[in-house]
Amino acid sequence: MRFFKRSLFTLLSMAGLLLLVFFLSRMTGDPSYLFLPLDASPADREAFSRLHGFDDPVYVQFGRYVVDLLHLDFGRSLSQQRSAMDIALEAFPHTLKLVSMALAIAFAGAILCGSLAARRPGGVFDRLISVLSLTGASTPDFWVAIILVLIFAVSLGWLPTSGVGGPSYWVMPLFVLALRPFGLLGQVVRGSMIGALSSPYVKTAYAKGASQAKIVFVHALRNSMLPVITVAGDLAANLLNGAVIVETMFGWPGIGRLMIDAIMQRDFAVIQASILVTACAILVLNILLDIAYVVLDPRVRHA
Amino acid sequence: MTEPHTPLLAIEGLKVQFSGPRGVVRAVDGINLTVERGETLAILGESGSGKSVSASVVMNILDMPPGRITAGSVRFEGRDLLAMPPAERRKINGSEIAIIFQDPLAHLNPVYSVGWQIAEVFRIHGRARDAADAREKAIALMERVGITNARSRADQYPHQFSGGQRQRVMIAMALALSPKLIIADEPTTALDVTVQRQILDLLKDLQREMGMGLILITHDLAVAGLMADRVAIIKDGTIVESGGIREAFTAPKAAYTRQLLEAIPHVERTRRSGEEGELRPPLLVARDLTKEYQLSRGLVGSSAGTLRAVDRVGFTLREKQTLGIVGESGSGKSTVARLLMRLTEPSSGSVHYRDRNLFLLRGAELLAFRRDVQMVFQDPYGSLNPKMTVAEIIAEPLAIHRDILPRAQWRDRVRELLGLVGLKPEHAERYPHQFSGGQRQRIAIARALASEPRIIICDEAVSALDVSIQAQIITLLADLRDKLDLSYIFITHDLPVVRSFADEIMVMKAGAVVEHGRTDDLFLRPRDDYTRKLLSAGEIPAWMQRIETVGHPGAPRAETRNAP
Amino acid sequence: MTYLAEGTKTMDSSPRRSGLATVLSLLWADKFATLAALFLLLLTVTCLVGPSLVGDAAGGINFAGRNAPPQFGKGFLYILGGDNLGRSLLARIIVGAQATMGVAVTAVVTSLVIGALLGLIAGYRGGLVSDVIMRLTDMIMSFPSLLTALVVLYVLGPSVANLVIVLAITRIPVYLRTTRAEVMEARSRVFVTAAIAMGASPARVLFRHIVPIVLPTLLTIAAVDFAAVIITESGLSFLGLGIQAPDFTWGSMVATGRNYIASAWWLSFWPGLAITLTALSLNILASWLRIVTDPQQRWRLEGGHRDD
Repeated sequence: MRFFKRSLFTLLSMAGLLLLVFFLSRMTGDPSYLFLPLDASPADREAFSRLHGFDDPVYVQFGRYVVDLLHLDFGRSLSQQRSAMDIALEAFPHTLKLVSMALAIAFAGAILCGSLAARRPGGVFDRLISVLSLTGASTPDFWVAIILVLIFAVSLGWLPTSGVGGPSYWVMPLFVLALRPFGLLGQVVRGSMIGALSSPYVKTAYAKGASQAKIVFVHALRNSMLPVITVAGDLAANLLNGAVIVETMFGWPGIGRLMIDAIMQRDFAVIQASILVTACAILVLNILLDIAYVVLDPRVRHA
Repeated sequence: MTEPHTPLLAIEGLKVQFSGPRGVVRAVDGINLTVERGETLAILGESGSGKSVSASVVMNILDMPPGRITAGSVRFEGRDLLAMPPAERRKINGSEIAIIFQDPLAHLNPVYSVGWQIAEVFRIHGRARDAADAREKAIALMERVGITNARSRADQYPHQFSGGQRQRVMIAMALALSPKLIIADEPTTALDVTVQRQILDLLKDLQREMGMGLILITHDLAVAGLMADRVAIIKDGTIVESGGIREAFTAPKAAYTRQLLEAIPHVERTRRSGEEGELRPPLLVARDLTKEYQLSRGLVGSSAGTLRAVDRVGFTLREKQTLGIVGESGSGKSTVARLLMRLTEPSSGSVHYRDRNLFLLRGAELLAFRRDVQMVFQDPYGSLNPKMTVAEIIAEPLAIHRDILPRAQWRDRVRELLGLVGLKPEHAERYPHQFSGGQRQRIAIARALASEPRIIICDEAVSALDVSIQAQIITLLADLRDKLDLSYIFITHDLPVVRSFADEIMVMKAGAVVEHGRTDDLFLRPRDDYTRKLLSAGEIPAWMQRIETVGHPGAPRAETRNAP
Repeated sequence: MTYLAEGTKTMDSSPRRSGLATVLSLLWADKFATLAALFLLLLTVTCLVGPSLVGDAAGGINFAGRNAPPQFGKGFLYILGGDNLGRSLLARIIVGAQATMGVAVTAVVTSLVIGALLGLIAGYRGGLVSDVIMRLTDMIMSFPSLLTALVVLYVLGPSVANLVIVLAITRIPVYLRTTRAEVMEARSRVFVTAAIAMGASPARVLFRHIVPIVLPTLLTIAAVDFAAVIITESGLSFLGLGIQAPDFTWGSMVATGRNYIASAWWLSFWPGLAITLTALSLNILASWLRIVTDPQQRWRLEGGHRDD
């Protein structure tokens, strides 16, 4: 049980978040402001409130909220007249695909470039990677997206500006989304590999006559993965931040864009549903990370 | 040797440089060495002498850059290792030349099992039919080096073994392909004293059995005297003396050799406080001192048992007396120090300082206690705040206990203290990183003296220093004791060191006191088995004990017991 | 004088120079860091003084200059072009700088102070207090900050105050965790134990020994965080939930320009570039700070090192 610290706390986190959402929505006085368009009449608001029980005492409302939660019932979306949960669950797979691909690309690229940079610290390749990752970490993703659209879609017409479809629709969104994680992870891999390559047990491997390849990929890499996994875990949550922007820019029908649209349309039911779905996904991710950690580091197993 | 003969290993004119922040450092500046089959050569030197660098060159594991071999050759059975193509060079490592490192925990890969790492040697050089065969060979090796239950332990990880066992694992890895030459770089330094002898004996057995050449790198003359046939003494990158070990030690030619021999704690050169038989007033009295730690497991928190770090320890420290507490790692001696300084609370038992219960003191009384009892720590690098000047460090007790001296007089007091410990006034404005280890300990001692304490607790205060520096610091401590009427509690794992310095010695094992008596009694007539074990482990070989103060009559000597 | 370790140190008898002179020479040793520092200096001056100089040009509507491309013809104010309402882009960037920086500085300072204080307490005291604080921090950190910000701003309304609060709260964990880790590490150092053994009060230990160790790392993190806050705030403004009209920051300028990508790319380009350059300067400076505050690495910048 102690191996699953991350997951445990994400679980608590989720609970906290859902509580927060509940209280936030009740805190602002009249919840109907959240659900109805701004120009709704007072009479409509009253009817709405009575219908959804917003004039009941708080604890009753809370009870109902929890029950609804367990049924995964967030109410109906006002703009689309369907169950909010259904809408959220439809949008989520698109985001999942986008984010996982971006993470995979960033991860693979980071391991490759970071390892190569670590072999010769201070060398040409290393400095190039450092500059790239620094730049990657400094550019706002929406701006990069705009420039890319400008060059590749508007001027050159090679890639589409928005929507889903074949491979060409994926190129720009993936690039923008993977840029910052690639830069960050690359730096971490590099630092970690430099540490591992200069550690005493690598000297032992040299003394045994091991080849360079074995040393990098068998001895050093496995030890460097531990901090990388930790950072990757923190990053994954932040990838969702990026997803919101990328989906908005490129019209990707994922949960990020759904939330923004819902905010614009004041569709609170959808917002709530989206939050829950996202939180669950993060929980699953953290569980996987915990497992990875145990598998990779025997010291954790026997602590 | 009149006929042409190729030694097993011949290093000629080797020069190695390092480029660093302050320019170029010549770590090895022209050394010549030979090793024959079946013989043991000890390379003896202190830290920074270049001994480990030389070993790294032979093994081809030197970091280049920042290191660079600028001259010389290293011939193994006639072939120049430095001129070999990399692929061929790689084949020699592990199969014909092998190395045993100093710190086995750091040198074993934490994420692979011990068996896997030993078997790797076979796999790399293609000497096993398959993975299962390599594993069997690894298990056989583990048994040979004395690891019990080898078959089941082969799948365990380095952190699950003790220090001594890990070193056995490293020895197994080195032996795997029966190499012709083994380099052992300070193989026992990181281990407990009793374990050290076992490992050295193991190495000697294996060498006799397999007839390989052994290069033993060490800073410890006793270890060299025990194991080696020939010795090469290295200082500042050059060899100052070499030859048969007995000749070198009994009739040394170089001044440095004499200096090293003089630093060996010698029974004649004691610095005890002298006045025996007189019972002076007690200062610090410990009774049944006990400290237990709860071992808890998992989230549920059910305790898996308690660990008794200190088990009913008792003693009386009198004025102007020096008490030595000797034990290996895990003996509880450091916990006792922490209890005496009230850095932690005991589970039971008491400590009385001048008849007041230490653990009940509060406020002004506690502060007064902290004035009177000071501590010098083991780590000269960590015990001084790197961002403070020496003056600020030494004056800190004055800043904490404002009633000792008005601020205006701090500068002079600092200078006075610097002088007392053998440093210069201009050192006051410098920062710790500008000093060597021995000098930093002097600064730490000056700091301890600032509040005019009655008792100084030295927690392994000289253990991290070179042997020759250790002797200097102990002399300093003895001088201060005589000048300032101090009492010491001297905690160490090194029994010989404390023999020259302490009036009484307390031997600890697993938290409890196993023997306690006057120094000479303990050394000449030890009552407990463990004490006997410690004594024999730290023993200097008989032929070395007969070396007189290795000086000519005119050489300066430390005073003996009867000096005024 | 014996060597300390394998051929790396001899005794160094040079006294330290004055603090400022040292800092400047270290800065000069890294040309990129110098550039970054100069840029940030320029930016600060612009924020303080700029709006009073070009404020009118940023506000007044000028139909003649609608979507004017970058040019020299209309006077130096239009070298970056005009926006969709004809206002000088340069002027608007200068004025927008104040809003962008203002929000960022407030958020960073708030989260730094609160995060560092909580981290100091959690790291020094340990025990239950520390655990509780850490669990709360973990909870905040595990959910994407942007989404949290979006929801909170939606519910509470997107005012400047709320924006700053939300940004600050989502950044506190970063400072808290780092401070706590550093304090715990510093606490275990021998010279801290020595000070306690000498009778030093907790206050003395904290401020004389621990804080000087923690401070440099904190400043380095603050520099990186500053960049992150600017980018986050820009993102929020871009999505429409940040600063609301008529106030504007660089982020909202980029958002406006999005509708004119095809016809007037400069509307989005220059503000975005401003964000990038600022963040880049901050990251470079943070990188420099990291080297300066690490005694192992610092020699790279001191006096230049000689190869043979």
